[in-house]
Amino acid sequence: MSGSPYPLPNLHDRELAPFWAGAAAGTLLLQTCTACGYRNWPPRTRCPECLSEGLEWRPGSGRGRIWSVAVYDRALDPRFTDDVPYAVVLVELAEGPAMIGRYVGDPSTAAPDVEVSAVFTQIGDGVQRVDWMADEAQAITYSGRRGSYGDAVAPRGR
Amino acid sequence: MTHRNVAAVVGVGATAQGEHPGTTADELAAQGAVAALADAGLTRDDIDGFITCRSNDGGIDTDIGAALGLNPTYSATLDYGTTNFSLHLAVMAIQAGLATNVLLCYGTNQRSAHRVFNDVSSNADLTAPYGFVHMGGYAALAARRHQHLYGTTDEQIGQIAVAQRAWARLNPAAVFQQPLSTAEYLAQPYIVRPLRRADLTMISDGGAGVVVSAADVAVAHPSPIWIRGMAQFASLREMQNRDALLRPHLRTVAEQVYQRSGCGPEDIDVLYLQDPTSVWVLQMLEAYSFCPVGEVGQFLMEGHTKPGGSLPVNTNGGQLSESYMWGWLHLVELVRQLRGEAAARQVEGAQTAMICSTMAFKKAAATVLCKERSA
Repeated sequence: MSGSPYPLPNLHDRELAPFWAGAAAGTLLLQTCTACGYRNWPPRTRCPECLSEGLEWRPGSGRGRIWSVAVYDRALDPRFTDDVPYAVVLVELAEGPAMIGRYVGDPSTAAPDVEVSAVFTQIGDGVQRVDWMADEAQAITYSGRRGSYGDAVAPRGR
Repeated sequence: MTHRNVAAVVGVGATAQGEHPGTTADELAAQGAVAALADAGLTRDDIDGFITCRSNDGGIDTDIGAALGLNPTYSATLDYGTTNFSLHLAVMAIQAGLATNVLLCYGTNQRSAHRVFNDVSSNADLTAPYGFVHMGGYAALAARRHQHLYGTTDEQIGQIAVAQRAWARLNPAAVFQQPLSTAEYLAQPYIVRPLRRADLTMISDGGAGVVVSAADVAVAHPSPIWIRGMAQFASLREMQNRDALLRPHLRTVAEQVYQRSGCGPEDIDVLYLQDPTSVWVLQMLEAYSFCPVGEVGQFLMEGHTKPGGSLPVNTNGGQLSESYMWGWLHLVELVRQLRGEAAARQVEGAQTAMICSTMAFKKAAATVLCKERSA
């Protein structure tokens, strides 16, 4: 999708390339230590728990709980002018790590301790973002187009 | 290890704050340094230690030092330039015998350079695509969590900005002088819920300097302000630490700074909490035990931190109302208060003060300073 207003990630980043490839395929991958099993986020080249270099990417559950939410009523970066108001959530994943993401749905329904699941939103050519939707909200058919830059889709295999 | 009677602040200075178009960050740092030297009654030739910190543009000791004509026996640049870390390094250099009179300075032209108070993450690819931009986003997450855990209200959070504006109106150097009532605060639209304009510092230009001298030199100064105790913590795993945005490591810094200084929260007459957002003040009031954890909302409503209150906080107006200077003006104000030079905002009888800083969610530092030398 050319002309996307979004700041797009570097899909070839040495540490993050597998994460973005997974997201593009509708899978939330988490860096996992083959020596001690620690789920590492954000990615590193060495496990911060046991200092092993044996890190590999494995699918996560795609489930978590909102730790907190920040609702942007003002676009503090002009690239998000069309999005306001929007909610950014810090999600504590079921596996342990905390991950920043966009909340899909009415921002006023995002709140700490709400259970959420990963959904994937296209923001550019071959680029999907990992977003989060409240579990109750997913019982309802989601049809909310995300402006002009793509649809939120449920993760594969769910 | 004790830091008592090792060193004292003997000079402070600052440029006008706000906008300095056409002046580089390093020039502003140098202006702050020259002002601090004059305040200390020292000359460039007395300086044998020099410490700078990286700013939005420059800040390197070898550049600013050259501009000031310095050939010190010790110099260094910190990558994270909030005041406390520079102050601690100066005390360490003195305690190690590397220097006797240490000049510290900081300058920024980030307003004129149109720097956006944007991402603080070490990996913007994991935040910017989500619209998680500006320090206000982190602050809002932390504030909302506090509200969720303890029922803290918007009105309670607003008392921080309201109190600091009241102080700023007593400080002619403060950028923001117009009155701010609780009703006016609540009438401001949200920027990042639950935070409003007054909860977020405005980017500004300015320079500041500080001179720290070894005890045997400082005793001859007319009004040295003594470092009584200091502590730091480096929570380098940051967001990998549970509840990182609540900064649980601040409790460790608090325990250590009180233990080393022999002071407790009840001894602090004036308090300086570095405030890129109001939320940092909220967190530090609890972490440094000025009220029980979770009760800062009620504590703020009681007005302790305002002019005339029992615990004056950020009597210069802080970064929210004076100027965004990475805490440097907090130290300048602290010294003026303990010297009794704070004019209309002078806290009568102020003897003991504390300054507390953070760097992102990784680092924290605190220092207790006293008017009197330790027994």
